[in-house]
Amino acid sequence: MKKFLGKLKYYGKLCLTFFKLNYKELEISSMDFLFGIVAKLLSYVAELLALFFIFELVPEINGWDKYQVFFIFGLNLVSFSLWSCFFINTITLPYYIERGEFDRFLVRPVSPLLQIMLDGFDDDSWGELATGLVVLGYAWGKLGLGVKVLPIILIAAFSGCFIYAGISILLGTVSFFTVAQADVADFTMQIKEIAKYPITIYPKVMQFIFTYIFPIAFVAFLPMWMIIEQINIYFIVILPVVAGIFFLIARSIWLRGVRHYGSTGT
Amino acid sequence: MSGNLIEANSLVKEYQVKNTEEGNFFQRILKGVGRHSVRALNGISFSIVEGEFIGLIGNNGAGKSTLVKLMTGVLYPTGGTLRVLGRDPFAQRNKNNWELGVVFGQRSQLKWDLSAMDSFRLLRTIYQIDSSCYRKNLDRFIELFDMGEFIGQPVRTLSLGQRMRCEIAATFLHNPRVVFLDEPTIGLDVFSKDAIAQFLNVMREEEKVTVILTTHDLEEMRRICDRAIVLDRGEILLEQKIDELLKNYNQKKKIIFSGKNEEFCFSIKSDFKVTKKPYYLEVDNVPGDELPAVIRMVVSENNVADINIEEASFTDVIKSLLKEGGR
Repeated sequence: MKKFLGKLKYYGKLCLTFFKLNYKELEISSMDFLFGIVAKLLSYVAELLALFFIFELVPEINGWDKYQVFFIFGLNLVSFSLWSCFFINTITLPYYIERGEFDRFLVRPVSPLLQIMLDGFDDDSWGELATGLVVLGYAWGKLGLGVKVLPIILIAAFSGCFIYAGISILLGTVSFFTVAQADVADFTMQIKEIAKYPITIYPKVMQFIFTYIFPIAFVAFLPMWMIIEQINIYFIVILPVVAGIFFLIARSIWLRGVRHYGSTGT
Repeated sequence: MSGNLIEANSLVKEYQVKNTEEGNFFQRILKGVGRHSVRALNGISFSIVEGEFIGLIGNNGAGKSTLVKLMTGVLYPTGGTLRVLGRDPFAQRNKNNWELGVVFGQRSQLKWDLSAMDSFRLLRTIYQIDSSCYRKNLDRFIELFDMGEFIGQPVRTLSLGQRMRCEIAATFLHNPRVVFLDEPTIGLDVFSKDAIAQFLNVMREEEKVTVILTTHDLEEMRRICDRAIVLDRGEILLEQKIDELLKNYNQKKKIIFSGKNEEFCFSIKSDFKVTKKPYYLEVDNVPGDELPAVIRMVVSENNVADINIEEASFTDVIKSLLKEGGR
């Protein structure tokens, strides 16, 4: 128990130190940082206007009304940007391997995966986080959900963050086995575009894939459904459990990749 | 065996390479046509004792980098055994890493946009260096490397020499037992090279550290290392104390005369290598005990103005070794 607490303290301190430095890096490029936020906000304004316009024409999409769709849109964006703001580096793996920089993570006494996750903040995802929070807050207010769902939203957002981290790790692992840098990292961004709508609008095959293989249904759609159906609060546990299991699977495949790297080094 | 910090027994490392000239695309993908294994290390054995400073020498492709990657646990061997600090470096990499320091000369371990000081702080957390030890090491390194001026500047604004000082200081911050320096001085000016050599010599005096250095600058290696391991095409060509190596090799010397004779006359018959130029005579391959006789004879028969006795430099020795060993 004491050993466990010691470890916890160590990792807490590690995250804090990394975050402090990452923040310092952001500060240095403060102009880029600010413009990045503004640019993202503007691009989302356009997208959200389009959504508003659609709901002027039709009252609902596939049985989901305007504010429910906005809720999913916002929650998905918050989950995604939590990952991309803090742990974006998981998609940098192919780059590290190609440049031979992966070795430097291997010679330090901390899990390389953790080091890579903590190695830097993204400088232009903060605008997405802000947009996500605004949209989510708006939908939350309009739906009249009340304070009691806030913990659910919080749990869902953090679970979603780890689902996105898992997806990016899985895709990055491919680069352990290929020499050429297949641009799979982009796929994580594409998946975000899929997860922002109710999963029921997609064909059955895609619904299956996005529930059981890349479980993005758990990011925003299922939390929304659970809140609407007023599912027993204890079922919410399924969100972190699924996210955790998915992340661990991604991690174990990643570890296989590291093992493979040990035989080739390229 | 105890006492050996690093021990390798018939260590083999093979890589898979693909020859894209063989077969067609589908044969290569599906049947593995054109795949060959290449041996980077061909069953080498050696051991390194605590406190030794080892120089790893070899041409490009001799297997140096592979060996360093095996010892740091980045790669695992195809065959043979390797123990570093009594452990399997690949399987127990995380444990070993606490006591290891590595500089990959071409790549930085410092955060580019931040100051070296920030990176040091990060390392302090990663390696859980206690504050008195951290303070002590930092002060000492700042003094040794004269880093006070630039330690607070963003790393990207540093000169290569300044950056490399920071890299090396970063590597020694947690009092590692073994340090690997892979080409740390590539592209550095002489003053930076001096500073690094001096720093390493202080570490040798004051710390219980073992250093494995690879560099193409052999004179620098001579200043830093006790023992050389010469690799050639995946095999150990030679493993010897650098002093002994030079002494053995330099039993034969080169004498250079210059003088007023347009043509020197030289009449001793033996297997000396003699080169004659106007006002110049060079006699190579002279064993130490025949030196006086040769000089006496040349001086008596010619009008000599100046005499120079040269020994082969470490670079010359290694060059000729690799040439001979290179089959």
